[in-house]
Amino acid sequence: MWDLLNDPEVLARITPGVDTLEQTGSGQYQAVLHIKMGPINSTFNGALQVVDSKEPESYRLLIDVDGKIGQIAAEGHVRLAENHETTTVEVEGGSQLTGRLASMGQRLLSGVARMFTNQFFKALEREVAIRN
Amino acid sequence: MGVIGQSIKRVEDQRFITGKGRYTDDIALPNSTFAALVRSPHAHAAINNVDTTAAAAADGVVAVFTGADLEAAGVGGLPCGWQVDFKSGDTMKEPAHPVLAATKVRHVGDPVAIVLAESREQAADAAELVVVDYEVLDAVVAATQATAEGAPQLFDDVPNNTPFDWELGDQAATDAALASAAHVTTLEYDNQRLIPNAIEPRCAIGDYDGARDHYTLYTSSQNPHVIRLLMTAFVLGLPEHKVRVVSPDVGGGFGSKIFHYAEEVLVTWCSRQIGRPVKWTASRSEAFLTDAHGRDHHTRVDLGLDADGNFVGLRVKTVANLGAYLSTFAPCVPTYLYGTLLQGLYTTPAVHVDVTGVFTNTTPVDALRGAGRPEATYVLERTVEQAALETGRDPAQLRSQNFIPAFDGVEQEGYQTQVALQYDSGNYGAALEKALAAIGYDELRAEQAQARAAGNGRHIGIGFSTYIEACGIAPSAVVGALGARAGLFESAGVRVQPTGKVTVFTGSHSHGQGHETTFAQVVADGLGVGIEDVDIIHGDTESVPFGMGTYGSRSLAVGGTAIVKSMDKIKEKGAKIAAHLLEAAEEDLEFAEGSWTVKGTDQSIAFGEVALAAYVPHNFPEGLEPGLEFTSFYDPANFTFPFGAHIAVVEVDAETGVVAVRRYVAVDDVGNIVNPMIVEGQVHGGITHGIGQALFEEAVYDDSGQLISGSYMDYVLPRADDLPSFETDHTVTPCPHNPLGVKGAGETGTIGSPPAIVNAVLDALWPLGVRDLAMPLTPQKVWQAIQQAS
Repeated sequence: MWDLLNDPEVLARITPGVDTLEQTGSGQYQAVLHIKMGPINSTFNGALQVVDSKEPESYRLLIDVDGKIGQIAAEGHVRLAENHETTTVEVEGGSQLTGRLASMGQRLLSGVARMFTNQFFKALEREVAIRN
Repeated sequence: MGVIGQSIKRVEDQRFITGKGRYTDDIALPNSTFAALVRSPHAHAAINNVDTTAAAAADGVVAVFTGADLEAAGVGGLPCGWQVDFKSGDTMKEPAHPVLAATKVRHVGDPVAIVLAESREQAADAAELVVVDYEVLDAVVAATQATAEGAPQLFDDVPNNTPFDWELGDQAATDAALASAAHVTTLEYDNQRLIPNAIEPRCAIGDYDGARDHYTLYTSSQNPHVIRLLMTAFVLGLPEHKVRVVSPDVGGGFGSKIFHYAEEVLVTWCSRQIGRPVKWTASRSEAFLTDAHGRDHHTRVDLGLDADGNFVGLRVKTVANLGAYLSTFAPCVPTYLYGTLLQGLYTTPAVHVDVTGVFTNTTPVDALRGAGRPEATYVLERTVEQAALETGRDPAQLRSQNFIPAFDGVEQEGYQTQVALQYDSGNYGAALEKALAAIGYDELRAEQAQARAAGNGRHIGIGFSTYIEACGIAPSAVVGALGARAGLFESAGVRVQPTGKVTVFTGSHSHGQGHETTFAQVVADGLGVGIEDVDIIHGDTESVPFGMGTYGSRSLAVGGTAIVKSMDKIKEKGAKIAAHLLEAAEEDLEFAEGSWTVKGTDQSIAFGEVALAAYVPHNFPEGLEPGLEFTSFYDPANFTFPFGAHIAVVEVDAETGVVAVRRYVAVDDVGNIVNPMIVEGQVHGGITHGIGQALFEEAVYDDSGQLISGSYMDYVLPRADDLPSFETDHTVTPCPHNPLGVKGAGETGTIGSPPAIVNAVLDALWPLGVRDLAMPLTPQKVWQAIQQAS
């Protein structure tokens, strides 16, 4: 599971909105995101960083992306806990929005975040299922 | 019956409802360029660098200018029109308000650069290519946080983010009165920040004519002359006579279009730089972020009552959020338009108000419909109602026992308050009596008692608001002494044409109030001509002699009186001409219904004949100049003081927290009324605006200073189905110090209604244990309050 969650190709595939994800260094990625929901429909460019990596149980993901309608600075704390045959994956995080995204999208974005989180876990389950 | 007092349909509505209004954005000048502004996405940040290379090279771009360019050209900052000094006597701190931020941005939406292009779209696209290197700083958002230890500081030269503090009234007497009061009612709350939401977003066009070295600024503004004065004298250093400012049809302002904005300077200056017209039209998102906001007070109030329910003292302490800069009128709104109204309608013998103005990383705050007076009315009327609820008194009775007795300002003197003002005339009890009768107060209380006894879940509430406001802004000497940097008189030129038709040039400006009709009625009545024979010209510095604009319900009381003054001069000269033509003595003539008649005879001469003689003076009084045209400047003797009694009836659904306004009775006294239909329209709009504040509207910032209610998805305006059919009526207590006897009607509804609604909801929920609610009373907030109380 740790490997899966640290493989840029897999991450790009399972993370909603991610168009491309290129590794630029150890734990450093360059990302292009496309987010479409309601009035929000925009491409964002920026950096993803994996920090405080404690294999195999946790890491923090820092996202800093810029788009025409604003900027997103987000932080996610990913925790893995092994439990017999299964692994529990916990993701906790928050985001800071600026620009039009903040003034128009703030309320919608919590819905977007929820939807993306669900999509992420569904896609992750699919990846696991394929591998098994 | 004269034309004064008739509900004549608004003459301007023909063009408005047929889509033929001419707003600033409708003006398409040949060879125009279009401007887009690069605005800060951060609430507080240092600017390290602004890179315009890519933007300048983009398709269709004509030029890009930054704050550094303006600084290099010697463009000044935006001026503030009022100076309110510290209690200590220290001068108000007045930090620079750059037209384009060069070194630091202080609120989201603060402009950093301007891009001019061949089309609006190209300008917008290129603006996104301007790369600004920001160093983000911590932001302070709430008024109460601005003076906290360690709070981020907006300006190096404004310690504690505090440009001024201010007080009025007798503190020692007030403290003593409260200490010995039998009961003290205390409230502490936020009067929330509102966004003005004019239907027409702001728009400005700069047009420099090199051949004449002459500038024209078209702008969607409430006071073109003041904009010209401020921009030429303080910002651009241009010769005032070489600049023309035109405000054509303006689609609402609510105060937000009084002020001098950066975009007006930018289009004017840029047009000179590129030698082409420059047009800027705000998007709705820009309007949310950059139109000056309103209200945003944090207040604590203590009202003392003696054992019989007489008010003995009122103490008010307010922190007013001014936003990131001092907007044009900002310092006067939470001080002279607020503290001076805290006497209300009551004889309270001791009143003291203390105000601190603070800067925060938010959009600047300035006058919004009512401007200070809704905040003052909320202080008083919420607290008085709370005192009634706490002490088990009837709120109507508690009010009337404390009312200032009736006075007409002629036989009886004006009422001197504890907070500087002298009220002109009032009969407060009469307005309340009329409102109580209209709503059927006793039956309503019986219905409420029945519903409570039945426990059927119908939570009916009755709420009051008996308000006073200061309008007819303003006597220049008085406001000058208080810190106004401009006079607040008004001018009117009345030109009688040779055919007897009349053109009026008024310095007050209509942005929806119906000047073209009301003023025409005043002229038709005064000169005995038809309304269709009168044309009202406003909003153009080239044709109107001077003007202080429209705000503070001043147009009729001040601008209308200036028209009357000019008509008096016309009639005086006309009488000389008539006497000559009738071969009679001037003092034997009387003027009525458009003719001069020799008293007691059938010898008369019509106004039109006299007008013609004035321009074809072949047979004319010796020594009299030809022509029939006068301009007058009228500086009022005092403010006017409209007042009224509003009663709201609400029903609260305890299951959902939804507040339904069942009835709304407004009895307003605006003095004499020229056009009842227009007044009713103003009252309806005002009440709607006030209900918007009470139930729906709120500008919300997150902790980092992002405006998260920046669109109609999150900023809720009242809709028709949120409102009952208003029941409006009037009492008439004429203003004793202007010839029309009028007081002003543009803001009464906005001032009176918020506490009436909130009081009604509190009255409904008091038995459930709910003791206070903060505006806006959203279903979620009401529901939570009910849950917490029970």
